[in-house]
Amino acid sequence: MTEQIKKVIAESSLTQEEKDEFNKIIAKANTAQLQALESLFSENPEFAPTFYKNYKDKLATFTEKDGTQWDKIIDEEKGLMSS
Amino acid sequence: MNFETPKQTIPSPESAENQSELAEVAIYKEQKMFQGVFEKLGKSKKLRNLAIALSFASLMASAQGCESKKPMTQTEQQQKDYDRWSPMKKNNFNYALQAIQGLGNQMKKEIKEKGGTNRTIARDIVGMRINQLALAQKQGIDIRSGGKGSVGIADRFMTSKDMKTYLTIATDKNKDGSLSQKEKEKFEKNPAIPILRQKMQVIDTFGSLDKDNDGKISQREEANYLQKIAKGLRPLSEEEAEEMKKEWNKAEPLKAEPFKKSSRKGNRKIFDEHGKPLPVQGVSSNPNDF
Repeated sequence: MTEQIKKVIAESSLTQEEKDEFNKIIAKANTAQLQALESLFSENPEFAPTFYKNYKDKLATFTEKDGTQWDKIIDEEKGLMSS
Repeated sequence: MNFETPKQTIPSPESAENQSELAEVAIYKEQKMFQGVFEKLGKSKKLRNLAIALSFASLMASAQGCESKKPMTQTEQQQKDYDRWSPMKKNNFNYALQAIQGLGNQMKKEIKEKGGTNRTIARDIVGMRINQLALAQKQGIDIRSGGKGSVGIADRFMTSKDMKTYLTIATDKNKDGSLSQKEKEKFEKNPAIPILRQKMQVIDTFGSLDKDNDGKISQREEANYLQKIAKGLRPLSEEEAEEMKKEWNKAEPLKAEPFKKSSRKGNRKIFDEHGKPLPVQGVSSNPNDF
């Protein structure tokens, strides 16, 4: 993980527990994913909590097998990409 | 065999029966959304990075979700078994046939993998097959228990004893625990009976395995017998499949009542609380004792 990403996560509004989990997730990223995240985080640090929330919402969908929730996530992502 | 291939459709997440299917559908939907945005707004560096980041979140969530998946309960497993059979609701011969062949292959595979002649495996699978039929019937699926189509199904699904039990229960319309003279006559006319009699001959063969005539069969001999039944689970030839398809489409369904647990005297329970089949009182393995 790059120092830039670590710094953005550390300075984010997330709790320490959330930051630890976030770091664990990011540690599994490959080079292309890390580059994409670094670029996004450096330009828009506020995207870090958004990304974490997106991951947690998706995890809840898969854990609870709640397929209806996925459409809401997709709508949010669409809004994020169009903004 | 030349059967119609079911249409490849992308199931909705709501209908996805397990985690991996749900993830597959969800990620597919997300990718489609990305494509739509790229087409509309162009594939800028920021959008590309966003798509990579969000896809990464999906992959991580999917992987983590699968890891935390709890083992299925008995009810969930039964529901899954039923879901496997639900295409039969559509009276789709191809699905039914594929399911039957799949079970035959599964039995062969398990016996091969778990020790060749393991009678417990064979019994478990017989139980599973009865369970699936009962679940299918309970859900109102026409399994054509009395029609000619049942010959092929029951032949591949059941041992002679299970088959006789099943057909007896299906014929015992008033559920009093025994067959009346009229019911016995109807039972005799069931097109599956010749197959059942043929299967009973295998039991005679089983009896002949008792070389020392002490009335007992060794485990090895019993295993050989069960393996013989397993070998009987073979794929249909093209001609047989065509014939079975014709019979299936022709056969009038027998509207057998769903199996119910009841405290009424004489009613037969066929499953215990764990979904395991129970022996049915009054069903003999003697081929002449119909």
